[in-house]
Amino acid sequence: MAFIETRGLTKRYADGVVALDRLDLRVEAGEIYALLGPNGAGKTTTISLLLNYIPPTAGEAYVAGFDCVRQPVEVRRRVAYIPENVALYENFTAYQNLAAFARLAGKRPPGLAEAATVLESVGLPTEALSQRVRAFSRGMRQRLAIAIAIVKAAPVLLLDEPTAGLDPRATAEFYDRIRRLREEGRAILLATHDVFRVQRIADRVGILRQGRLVVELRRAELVHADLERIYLTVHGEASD
Amino acid sequence: MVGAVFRKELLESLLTYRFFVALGLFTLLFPVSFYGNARDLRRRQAEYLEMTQSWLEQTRTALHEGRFQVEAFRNEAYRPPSPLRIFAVGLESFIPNHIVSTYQGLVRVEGQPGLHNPMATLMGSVDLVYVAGWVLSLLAFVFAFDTVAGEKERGTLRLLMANPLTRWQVLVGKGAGSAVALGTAFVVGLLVGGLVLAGTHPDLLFSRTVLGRLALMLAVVFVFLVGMVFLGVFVSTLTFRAATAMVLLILIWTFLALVVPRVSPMLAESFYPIESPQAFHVRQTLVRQALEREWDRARRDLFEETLVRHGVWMGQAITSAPRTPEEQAAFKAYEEARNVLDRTYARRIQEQMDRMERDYQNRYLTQVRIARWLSRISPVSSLVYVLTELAGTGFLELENVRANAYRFHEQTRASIYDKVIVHWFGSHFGTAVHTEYAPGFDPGTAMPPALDYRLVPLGRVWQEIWVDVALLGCFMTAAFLGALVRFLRYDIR
Repeated sequence: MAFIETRGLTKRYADGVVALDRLDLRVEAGEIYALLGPNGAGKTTTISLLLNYIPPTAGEAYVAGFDCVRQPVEVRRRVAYIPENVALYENFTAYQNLAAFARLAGKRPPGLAEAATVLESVGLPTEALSQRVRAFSRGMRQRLAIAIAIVKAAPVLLLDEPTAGLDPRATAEFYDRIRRLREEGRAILLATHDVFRVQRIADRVGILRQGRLVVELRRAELVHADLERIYLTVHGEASD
Repeated sequence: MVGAVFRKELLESLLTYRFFVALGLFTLLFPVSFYGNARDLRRRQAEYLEMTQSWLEQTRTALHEGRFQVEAFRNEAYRPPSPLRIFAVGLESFIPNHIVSTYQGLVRVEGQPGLHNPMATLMGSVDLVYVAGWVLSLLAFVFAFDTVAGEKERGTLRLLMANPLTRWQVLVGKGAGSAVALGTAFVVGLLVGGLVLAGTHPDLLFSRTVLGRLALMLAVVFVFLVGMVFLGVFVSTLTFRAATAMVLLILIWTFLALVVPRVSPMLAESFYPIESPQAFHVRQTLVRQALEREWDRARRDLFEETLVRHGVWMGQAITSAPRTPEEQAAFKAYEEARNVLDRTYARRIQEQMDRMERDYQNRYLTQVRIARWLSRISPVSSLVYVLTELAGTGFLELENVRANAYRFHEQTRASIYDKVIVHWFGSHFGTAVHTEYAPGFDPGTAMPPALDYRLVPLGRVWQEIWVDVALLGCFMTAAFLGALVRFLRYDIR
């Protein structure tokens, strides 16, 4: 079953700029789909359209079978979102953030023991539960964002440049956890320009250029392909 | 789902420094204002009792010593201070507190209790009106300025909106959370103030009138608070930067709380100018003097026509008794005509003065009405009108003190003036008075009635304030709808 599906999804702004051009996409359960592209290629626009932050100009988008425009609340019930810069409530402790986002997701807030287990599963110490997020490093915030996504228990994950600014170790740990979430059957849409990581973890890769999906590679193709060269070729063409 | 946003917003507000600043301010302002105003009320009550008692003593002594002269009698009373002035000082320093009734039918309200400390006049009083109208309104903006723009700026709005929430749920939850956080600080301060008041002056707090009206005042303050918070949320939806929202809100607050209430009377004076009370009284005196001169001429003419014709010269009229029957008849005719003339002129002068007074009052009230309507652009003004009217220290009390004065005069007329008939004798150069009492009336034992001062009934207060309550309700609704419409189109990306 396709947990994320777009058909001819298009976003054209009032000034005529086409941010996304007829995107056809399917992300299955237990699959990581990486959207690659330089800044302005349409990666974040795709996620914004899926979350109905902006309305599409044309086309359709579905998450878990729900129409992103007509049923945005149902869509968001089934989506966990981790943006590039994870901004959480700074004055809240990690636990207060977990509990607040659980309530916002319509879930019962986890108990302290449950919250500690979730934090441990993302590599955060139990003490972090009572620490204010304002004292957290960028990596700790990303981990807490994954913990929030775990508590939400959403079948779909939308990740927008989630490792930007993280050190290599934190990045590696982050992708390890993403892999585990895939193994649990979640459908993951990953927007990034980290070609090397994507080649290792993605099941499929789509390369966007000026809002258009110009290349799509499957796992089997990825194993042997020189993704960096393909990306640079596409990017180079875009620059011409 | 509104509850989840509400809880998040409430917790977020409670954990910020601004909540503690608000808590500190309210916890300081309420006890200080309640205690200070209660002491002031106590002093005024004591002064009121002393003045009333002193007047009664004087009257009783004069009556018992046989010095009662109805033509010179003045029944006096004092307006008791409003027990709700603890919460809204309002026009209390401006409302006349001395009522005088005379046999000639003059009713005057005069004197102003004023403030004993001129600093209070210069800087204004601290009461519920001040705390709610100025401090609370500013803090409402401080609590609301970043509800939307701040989350957008920090990046949390994207994460918040990735949850199964509609925009109206987010907006309602945010507004309600901020309002309840601010309301919590306000109520805590109010309770501390209430405890101080209950501990020091329990009798001033625990009365049905005070508690009932205070509850109504607080209900209106709550509507005002919600309206101001949603106005803050609305402005927050106009921008993507919290600092911009704060600057805009400070400008709006300056306009609503400082500019509109002060500029409205000035504009009203420009649109509808009236002379000052001093100038009016000078004009009134000139008219009175002109009428008195006319009265004087009429007396002379009467004297000439009725006595001089019969050979009575002026000096004789007051130095000698009538000698012949013709002279006696002429004197009698003169006295009767003189009594009629005097009554006519006295009534005419009184009517003219009353007409001028009424006319001036009408023009004065029209100017005040224009100023009030202009000032209603600001919800702060509406709040002030509602709170002061409920406290019995508003414009309505200016009318009420006059109504009480007229009632007092009528009571005095029924029990004193109507029981006494005064005959005036004499010529242009002098008068003699003969007083006749109604059967059963003994000036030695009669006591003039005391003033039973009545507060404006709630029904009449409601007639006066419903416009302002409706305006506050409209303001709250408009602020919410404005915020909602803006937020529905707000760019969350």
